[in-house]
Amino acid sequence: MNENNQFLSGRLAAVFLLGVIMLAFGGFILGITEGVGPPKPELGARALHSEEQPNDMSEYSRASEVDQEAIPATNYASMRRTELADLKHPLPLLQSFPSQTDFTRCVTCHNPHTAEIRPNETDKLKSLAARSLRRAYNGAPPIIPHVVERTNDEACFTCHGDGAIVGNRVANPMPHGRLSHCIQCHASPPPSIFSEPTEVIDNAFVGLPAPVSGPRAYGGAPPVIPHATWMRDRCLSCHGGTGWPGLEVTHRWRENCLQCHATSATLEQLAFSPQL
Amino acid sequence: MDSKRRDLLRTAAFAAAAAAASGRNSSSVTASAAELSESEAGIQWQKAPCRFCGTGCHVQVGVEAGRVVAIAGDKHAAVNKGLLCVKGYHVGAALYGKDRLTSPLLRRENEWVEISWDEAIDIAARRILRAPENFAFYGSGQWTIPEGYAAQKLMKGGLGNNHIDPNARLCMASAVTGFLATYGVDEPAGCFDDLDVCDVLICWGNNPAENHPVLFSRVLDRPAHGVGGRERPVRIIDIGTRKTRTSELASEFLLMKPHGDVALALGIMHLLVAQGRYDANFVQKFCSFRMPEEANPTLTGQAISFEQFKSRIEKYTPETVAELSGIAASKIAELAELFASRDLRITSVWCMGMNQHTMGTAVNSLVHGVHLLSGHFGRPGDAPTSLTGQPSACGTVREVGTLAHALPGGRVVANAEHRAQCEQLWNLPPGRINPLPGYHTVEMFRRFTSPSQGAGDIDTLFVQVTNPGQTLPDLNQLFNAKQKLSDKFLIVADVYPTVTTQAADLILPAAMWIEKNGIYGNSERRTQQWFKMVDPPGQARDDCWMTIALAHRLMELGHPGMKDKNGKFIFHMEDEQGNEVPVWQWEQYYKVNVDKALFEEYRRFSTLKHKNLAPYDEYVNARGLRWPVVEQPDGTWRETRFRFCENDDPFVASGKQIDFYHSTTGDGRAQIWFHEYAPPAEIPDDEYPLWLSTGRVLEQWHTGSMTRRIPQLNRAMPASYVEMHPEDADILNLRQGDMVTIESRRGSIDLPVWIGGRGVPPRGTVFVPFFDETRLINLVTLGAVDPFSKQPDFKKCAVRIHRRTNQGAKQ
Repeated sequence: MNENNQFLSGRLAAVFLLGVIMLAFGGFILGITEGVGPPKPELGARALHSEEQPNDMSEYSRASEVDQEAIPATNYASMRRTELADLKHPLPLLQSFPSQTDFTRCVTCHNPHTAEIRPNETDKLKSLAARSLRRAYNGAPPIIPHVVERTNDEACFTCHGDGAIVGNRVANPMPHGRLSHCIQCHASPPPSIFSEPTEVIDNAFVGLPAPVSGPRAYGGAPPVIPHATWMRDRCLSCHGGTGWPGLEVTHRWRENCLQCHATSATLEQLAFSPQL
Repeated sequence: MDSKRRDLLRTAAFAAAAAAASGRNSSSVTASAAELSESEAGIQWQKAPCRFCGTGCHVQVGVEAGRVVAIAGDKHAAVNKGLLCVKGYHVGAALYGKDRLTSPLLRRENEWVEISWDEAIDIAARRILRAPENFAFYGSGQWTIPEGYAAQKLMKGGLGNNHIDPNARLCMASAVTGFLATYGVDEPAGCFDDLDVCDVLICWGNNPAENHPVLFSRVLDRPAHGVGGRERPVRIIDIGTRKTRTSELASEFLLMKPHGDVALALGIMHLLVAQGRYDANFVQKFCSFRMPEEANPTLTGQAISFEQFKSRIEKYTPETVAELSGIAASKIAELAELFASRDLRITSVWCMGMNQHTMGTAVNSLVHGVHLLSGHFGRPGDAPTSLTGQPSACGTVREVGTLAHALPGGRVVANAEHRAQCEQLWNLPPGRINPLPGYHTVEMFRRFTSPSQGAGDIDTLFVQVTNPGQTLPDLNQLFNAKQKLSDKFLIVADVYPTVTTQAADLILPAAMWIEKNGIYGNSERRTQQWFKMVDPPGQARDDCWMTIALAHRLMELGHPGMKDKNGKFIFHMEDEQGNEVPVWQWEQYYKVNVDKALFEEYRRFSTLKHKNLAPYDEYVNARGLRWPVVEQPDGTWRETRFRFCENDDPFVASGKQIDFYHSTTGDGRAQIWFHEYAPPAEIPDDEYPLWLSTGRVLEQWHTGSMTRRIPQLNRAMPASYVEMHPEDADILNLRQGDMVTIESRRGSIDLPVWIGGRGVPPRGTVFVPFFDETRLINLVTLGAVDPFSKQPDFKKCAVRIHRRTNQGAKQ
């Protein structure tokens, strides 16, 4: 929306009005759907780049130089059907971040003179609620909340390796090092092949909720980390620029988090207690 | 519906925490801090092995207010080192499916009636008393060790009835016979530590990426974890009849035809021998050669000389093997080259592909043979290791011996000396144990589902901790036929309604996992203990209690077998003061640690075959210990990683290097077997032109009775499907997601087609997972079994597929 405003600032009022009507109409349509638009046909590096250079065919011509043989057309039978999004679990929308200009915060880490960041308490609660919808309990590996065409590691790493902004979505970077076989821990959405309803059996498990914040020894003291850092050793994945709104650190230029924020020996399983 | 409700619950829980913070604006931070420390203090963390597969990961279970609220990978567990798989992370929710069975139910007419436990136990006992010899007990590799031991003692020691067999018969019986035929004693010599140091990992027809994910990523992530200390990266070779998630992650995938594994192992041995590149020193010192007898083959077989062995495998040239297995001759030579390289460390792993096989015993023995012949045995990283699919297939089935022919401690009922040993340890009068082996699983169910006037001499069956109505092959014949026979009585103890409980006459609600004390034994000989952490729901009770209560009721009703030589109850338990505790009364059951008492009693058997177990309390203080666990001079207990090796196994005398001290030939030698290749029991033809293979998927565990009730897992894999090759689909004019009928000579079901799915079968093969109780693929599979292990082949049968004709799904 800010973008629109900037774009329109020098234009005629009529165009502005038209824009507003279209936006409202579009918003209405979006509103009566479940809130998330259809996915890009192919999520991945190619899609990201092609957005920047929509007319650049050089890659294709290069490919045809290498391989002179005609590429057979894809058989419809072997085509994957794009899998339905699991729309119950919203992704963080780009709009939900404070403002577009905030993405210049990517340089924040390298610019100690940036103004202080004040995470918004409402955003934080919203983010925590959204987070809790996609994991069984605090500490469980999150499920994959979005459409996936492929579930191999390369597909996941493309966006979650270093984090990415895909369309109007934010893909958090992985909070742990590169481990193989992502779906070993992260449950994927169902295959698209089930057109008939599948059986669901109710479950009464209520998982541990996420803490709202870490305890402080006194006002102004650095809060201790209220969760285990096992598999979550890259703090900025969640608390950095492409993390969750409201969970950002106020001081991203400080990179050694554990210098000030203490971990919990219990949660980290530091002490070997034979029976426990 | 359910997810909405669940979300509500979760949102409520979340809101409670959030309200504390947002309600008091200025002091929100400190207020929530107080909340946090309160809630943190409220959570009790305790260790337990995971409920699911045979890997035996340890989890930390977070319990708050009597309910499981969180799970964490146990960082101190050697098996998983803090990592879990998607099933393990969600194992806590397995307790909370909304349809838990909470009271005993008796079928009256076509209605379920709630009855009391006293009544239920009485009905079961009287039913058994009618004809104790016609009673059978069907158990499980998910039984805890004490549960299996109690069932074993009730049957073989109490009733003098050997009709007790576990579901593991469907799962690893061929692995057992392979070990017995080769080493004279069951279970792997190596352990999971091999995975950290091997240079080559060969997966023989299994899919560990989905079915033993933590073990597989332990290998894959070696570089990331800096494990192994060896510079060379591990080379993973996947040999299978279908391209799987493992194939994608492996260095190499070799596609083979069904039964190609038998030919391949013979082909590798042929090349090693023909080129003179086998390990002559190792073979000369530690091995002999063996083949099955012409008539009535046994697991001991007949001795052959090296020359005879050589001439018999001569015909398995790379070209012949390529023809039989579908693997290129050059690849067979490459594999032989790997085995010929003594400086490499090669670990072989396998699971259902080699076990659910009508030549299961043969192919297991042959793969051991490849390792022995090439000397890839007995050094860390050099091991043939079979994996198990259930958490205690090793512990409860193989070690306790809850099989129709076995007794605890590697004893067998057919051996008079063994029977006498057991009778003495159980303090029973001589002759109590029946010398005739009981019915193995398929036979047990065949007799249960046949009319009593004919060959159906089993009329009462007690099923614990398993779901045969879904897992048996050829279900119409072996399970569903019971419905027509009014004089059969099926007793089922389980935690949820299943296909099996649907057919039951009496349902007993069971406690599960951390709702009771327990001990499991995983694939690498690791015995793992846990304590009860939460109460079971409603009137659900421990399986072990059911067995003891049943035995006591039988004693009250006058069955003489329920007393030992001195007239004491066979499950007599005492407290520390020496007073008898009536553990058959549920209120008294946890007054003593029944698990500990039974385990200490069972432990005395473990030394009979050098599978020594430590006292119960040692396991309380460890994340499992691998047997043999032997007491050291300083009073500590030491586990064994590598069996039969001088440097680690306490039973190998120094200077011997390797000693197969349970050798079937009594000379410390292992047997290298020759088995002739034979084709599968049913082969596709014009009428049924496709191969059907069945198996498992990452998110669902076995029959799904637990995982299908866990929302995160069920969302990921909600129903069964048939994987097809695109060209096969094309020929049948099928598109992604089309509903088809898959049909064999035995039955049919309807499934959606998945093309280019998680696994890709080759042309002419289809694959269907078996977890979905609404679409039972075992209506289609074949009841043919391995001649030695009696394990059915779920991986190969002939089917045809056509587009589903009528809209109403036929079941």
